[in-house]
Amino acid sequence: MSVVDPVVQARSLRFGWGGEPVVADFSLSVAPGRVCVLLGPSGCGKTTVLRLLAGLLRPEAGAVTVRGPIGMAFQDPRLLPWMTVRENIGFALEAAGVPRADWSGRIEPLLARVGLGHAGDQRPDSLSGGMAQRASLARALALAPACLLMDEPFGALDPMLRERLQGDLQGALGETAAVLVTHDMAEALVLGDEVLVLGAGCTIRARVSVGAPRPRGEAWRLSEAFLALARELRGALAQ
Amino acid sequence: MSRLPTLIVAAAALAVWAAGAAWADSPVLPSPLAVAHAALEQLRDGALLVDAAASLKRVLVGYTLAAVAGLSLGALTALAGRWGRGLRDVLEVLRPIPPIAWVPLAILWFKLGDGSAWFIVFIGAFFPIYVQVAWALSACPERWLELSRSLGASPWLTLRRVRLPAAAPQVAAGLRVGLGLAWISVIAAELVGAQSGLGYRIQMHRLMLETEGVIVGMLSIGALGFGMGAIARELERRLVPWAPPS
Repeated sequence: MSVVDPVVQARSLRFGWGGEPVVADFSLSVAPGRVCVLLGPSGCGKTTVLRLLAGLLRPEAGAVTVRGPIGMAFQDPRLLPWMTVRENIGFALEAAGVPRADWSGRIEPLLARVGLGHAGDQRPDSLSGGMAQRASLARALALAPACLLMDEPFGALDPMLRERLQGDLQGALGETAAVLVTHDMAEALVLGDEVLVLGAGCTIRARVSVGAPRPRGEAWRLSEAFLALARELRGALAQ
Repeated sequence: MSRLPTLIVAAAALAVWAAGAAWADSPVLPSPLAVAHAALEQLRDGALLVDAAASLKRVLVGYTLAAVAGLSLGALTALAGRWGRGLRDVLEVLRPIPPIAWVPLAILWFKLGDGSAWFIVFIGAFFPIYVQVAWALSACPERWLELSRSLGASPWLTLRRVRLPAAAPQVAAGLRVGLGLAWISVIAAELVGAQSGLGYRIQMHRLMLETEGVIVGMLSIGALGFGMGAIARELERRLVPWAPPS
């Protein structure tokens, strides 16, 4: 537990669709500027936990506390095809009741931050996969969220693009707390400060701390410490 | 060059028609040339244009009423919960009744003329518009609704910025199909319940055994329907650019 007050805290969450619980007893706590990664095999309930944290699902038991606004990046970019990139980001501001006069001052820096300064007027169907994912990230960051929830946001991209966006994301987070769902061990070790290895029912099999300084790039991926942690994660996943 | 296959098929159809007419050598199957000659005559004396304008006006009035009713009741069906489903069940009983079956009632209620024709056009165009609107608004993809919820959007904002634009391609398709059916319905109405219009003109030529005139009337309907369909597609392309090509 961090000495700083956590931004997002989940206590003893339980959720199911009838029958065996998808999430049996899950707790988590993330401090400002920290990234917690949920790593586990497909179907173990990672995405369900994320939806519980976002308030999109109501837990059967337990509680979620989030201090400040939440941003969410889905597995697919989920850009609304009838809006331009700028309008998609504007939709997040409109939903939060931000006055229209303030939009430009918030959208333009965000577009520049994710490298889409030139693409604000483009519609989603004219964007590449990487551009669409960055636009989605910009929308998730539009309200300067205290907590960013990400559900395998780079899962459908090619490895080179994924690495580049992982680098962009490290720069974009700042003091935002983040919870990242992935089944990619390398991604977990590049982005995460803490990796929770999950098993069936979202039971926590292992808790791995990643102390490497940011930004973490090629040198970190090739380091002995990275390989040692990867072995530790693999061991926990194989249990 | 892209139109070449169309031109070749059209030329082949005309050739088959001309050969059939030459072989039959009967007034019931005039040659393409005789039909073209009759069309020019009818254009010259203005009668064809007067009747085309009468049909066009009936289509526009009946179709506009159908579009307003289809959009409103479709939205009500999709968004008004149990009451909406009740409305849908009642309309589903009326939907299979073809517009032509309404003609006797239309004449009894509105007499011969514009009123009954507007009503038949309304019936013909209303149901495809209503069904598409009701379906499109109630079948908004969950992924977009979930996104809207994750951003904390109010139900009203979600309706305006997500549900309505998401439904727009299907709504536009319903409006286009409704327009096609409006043309079919107006001719049905005019064949039996009007004293002007292209349907009425076709009927008059049939009674006078002027087959060329019948075919000119039919081809005029085809040309007008095709033209309005093309305009509708172009509008759809401009107003709903995110819709898949129709």
